[in-house]
Amino acid sequence: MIQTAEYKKVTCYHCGDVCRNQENHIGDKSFCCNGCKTVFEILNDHALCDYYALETHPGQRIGNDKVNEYSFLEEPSIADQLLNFQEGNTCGVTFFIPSIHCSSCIWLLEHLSKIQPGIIRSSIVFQTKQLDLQFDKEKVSLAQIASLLERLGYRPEITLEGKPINRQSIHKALLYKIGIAGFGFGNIMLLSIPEYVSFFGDFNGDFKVFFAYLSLLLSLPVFFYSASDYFRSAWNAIKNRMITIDLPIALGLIASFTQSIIEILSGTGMGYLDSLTGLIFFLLIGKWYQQKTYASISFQRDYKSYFPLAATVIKEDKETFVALKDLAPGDILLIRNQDVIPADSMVEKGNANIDYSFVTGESKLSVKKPGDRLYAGGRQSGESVQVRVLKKVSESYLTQLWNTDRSGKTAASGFVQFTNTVALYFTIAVLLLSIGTYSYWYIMDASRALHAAVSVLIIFCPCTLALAIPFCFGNAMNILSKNGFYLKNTATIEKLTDIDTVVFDKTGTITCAGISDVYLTGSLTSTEEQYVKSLAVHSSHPLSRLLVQHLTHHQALAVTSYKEIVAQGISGNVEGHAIKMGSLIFTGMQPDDNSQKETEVYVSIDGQIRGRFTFKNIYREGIPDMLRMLHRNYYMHLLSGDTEADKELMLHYFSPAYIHFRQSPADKLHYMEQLETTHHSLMVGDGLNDAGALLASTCGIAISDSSANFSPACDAILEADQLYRLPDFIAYSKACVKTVRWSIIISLFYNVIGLGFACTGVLKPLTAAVLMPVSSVSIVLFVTLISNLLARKYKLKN
Amino acid sequence: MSVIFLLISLSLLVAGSFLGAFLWAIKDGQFEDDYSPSVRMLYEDKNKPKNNDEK
Repeated sequence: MIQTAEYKKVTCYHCGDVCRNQENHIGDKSFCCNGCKTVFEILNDHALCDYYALETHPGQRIGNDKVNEYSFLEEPSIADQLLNFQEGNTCGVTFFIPSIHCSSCIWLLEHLSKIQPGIIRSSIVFQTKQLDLQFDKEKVSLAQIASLLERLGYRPEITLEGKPINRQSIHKALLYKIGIAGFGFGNIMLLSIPEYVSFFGDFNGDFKVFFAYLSLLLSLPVFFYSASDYFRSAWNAIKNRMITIDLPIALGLIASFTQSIIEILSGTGMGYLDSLTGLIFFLLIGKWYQQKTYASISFQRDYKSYFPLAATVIKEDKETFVALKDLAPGDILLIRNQDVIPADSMVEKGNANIDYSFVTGESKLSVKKPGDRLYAGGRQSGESVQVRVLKKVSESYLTQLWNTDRSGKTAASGFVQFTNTVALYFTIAVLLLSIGTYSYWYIMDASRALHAAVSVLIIFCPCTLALAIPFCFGNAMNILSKNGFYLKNTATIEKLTDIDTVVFDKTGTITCAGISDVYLTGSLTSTEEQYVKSLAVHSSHPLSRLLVQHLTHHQALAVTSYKEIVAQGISGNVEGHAIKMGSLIFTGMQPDDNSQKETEVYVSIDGQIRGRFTFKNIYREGIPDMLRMLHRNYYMHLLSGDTEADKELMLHYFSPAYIHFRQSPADKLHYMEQLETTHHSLMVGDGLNDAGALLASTCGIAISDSSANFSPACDAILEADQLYRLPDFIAYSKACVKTVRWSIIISLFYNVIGLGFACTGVLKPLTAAVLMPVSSVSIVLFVTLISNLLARKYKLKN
Repeated sequence: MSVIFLLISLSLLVAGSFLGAFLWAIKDGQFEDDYSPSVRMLYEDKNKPKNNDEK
């Protein structure tokens, strides 16, 4: 009998991750890393363990990564950029903290004053993930607060962007309008009831007049304030010689209102105020539903969100912090490990290993010596270096590239929103019908002509279309966001159905950024692997870190005479053996003529090369199938800033003519502009190197590994581990657009019935009041139901 | 039946005050955050001493 050993998983008390070893624990509570343990200690010391009572494992894995330096906030000129106000000693600041995600987070962050008495009060707005703080600057400084937040696992995002933008102000105006419209609608409807039931007996003249004028009074704010957006938009459309959906709506609203005023003032009737206000109310609700977006995600980020707020400048051997916008050519900057290079500069002292993967797409580190030129946006990996600024931040080569794109085209040419096409036909139809009705009645019985014509304008309303789109696409956007696909607005759904080409970036998009598959060529015994790991643990080079991750099940041993030679390798003694790891030359062999395409680390033990580790890109799960599925329906292109190392692999999924490597950001932009002249394309990218291309495409999707990371300006953000479901998402969007088309047909049905009444000149207010809500509500129910059913069909979470 | 004039006017006044309260709530940011208040309600303040004897 084989006995299987029982393996009990120990999870971290703070964040819930699996604990790989038993190093960190307090009493009977285990932690996965020192960071989590530290947070627990802080909370325990201040009697804040309720943090763990509200949710299990509420913390975020802090890990042993580099802790951000916030000393630059001590500088008043820099801190002032962030503060909301300063009155006496009280200062107010708002931080954007992307890692806020649950009730424990809210609890802890609002009880910060218990940990740090200098904080007077703190409150969270959960939707926008913002923390509003008021603190006493005599007792605690901004830098100390930021450090505290970081230590607790709630790193505030402080970038060149400055203060977090308040995204709430759009909603308030709309809510006012909805409130007033609802108030008017409800009360006018009540006041109209006697008119509806008039067949019980004519109701008295006095009341009739009173109710009529009261209704008119109530409808005034609804018409002039609540509906004002539609009139403004229709007027803009006329000025720009375009037809949008708001034009026929505005037409219908004006017609109803005018007809009603005439009828009431002349005493000939009650008008159509109830259907008018009801229509405005429903339309505004549709607008509100459509606007419920993700307040903590921004689709408009530019380079400013990627850069830090300040940099360390060395002046006369002293380190000071200077705001990025104040950097001048000639300044000497100190760039530490993992710092972003803020401006085009030249290496002065030290050896730079620059990770440009986000900026140009190259996955290998660039090694730069003193005298070499560095571009802004790269990230230093390894020791601290000193660089001399060559250009101001806003004039660096790459920021120039991103800035020029934005001012140019805003949307790819040729994409016309589907609603606008329908609106065009609709407006033409309604005008023709109205004129036709007028002419017909003018001949038959002139007294009814005007009434009939105006009734046509009133009843033949695209309101169902104006409701179907926000509710159907709004629901679709909601469902998609629950599946990790965040759309900027409803137009994106239409764009997704309009494309015939898909263009992929490689690094970070279809490959996983930051991790690699490690293959060993040669043989090492288990002990020898342990030696390798022991040596690698001491180095901060990304390849060493990958090796440590790869060899995680080995225990690290003590190392003596550790030496690291930058860009060459590392060496040391473990248990009496001399271990060397690094490039071929470093480990003692002559390289042959083949240019090294792959990333390799050679290992030599006691002077003999025993093998080499090769690092290959890992492709995200499910990508091959996804690419194959897309290949069936779309032209597939690959644009990569990387080398041709993986070309053979890519040939399986992309036509050879459409694969391009070593693309600079400018190359990608030009390629997309060229492509857009003949096709409508979907661009999928992740880094700043794709920023221009994303804007130039019909629809740009940015891949994001976590909400805390920067993603460039785009039409949609897709979570990295959901990329493989892209075909399903596209299919779902297509199905939703089809649903909307069907709802137009249904609305036509209602319109025809309504027209029957209008053209014959017998459109009673009651008829209008019944027809409009019935058609609106049924359409809304229809599209919501269908879009939910479709979600189930495409296996989307609801 | 002429009391209807008075009744309707009064009821409109009451309804109007509710509308006013709604608009005021919007202005003060009542609807900005609909998640945190539900969590804030559940905080327990462990520092309050029990006041049973003081009545």
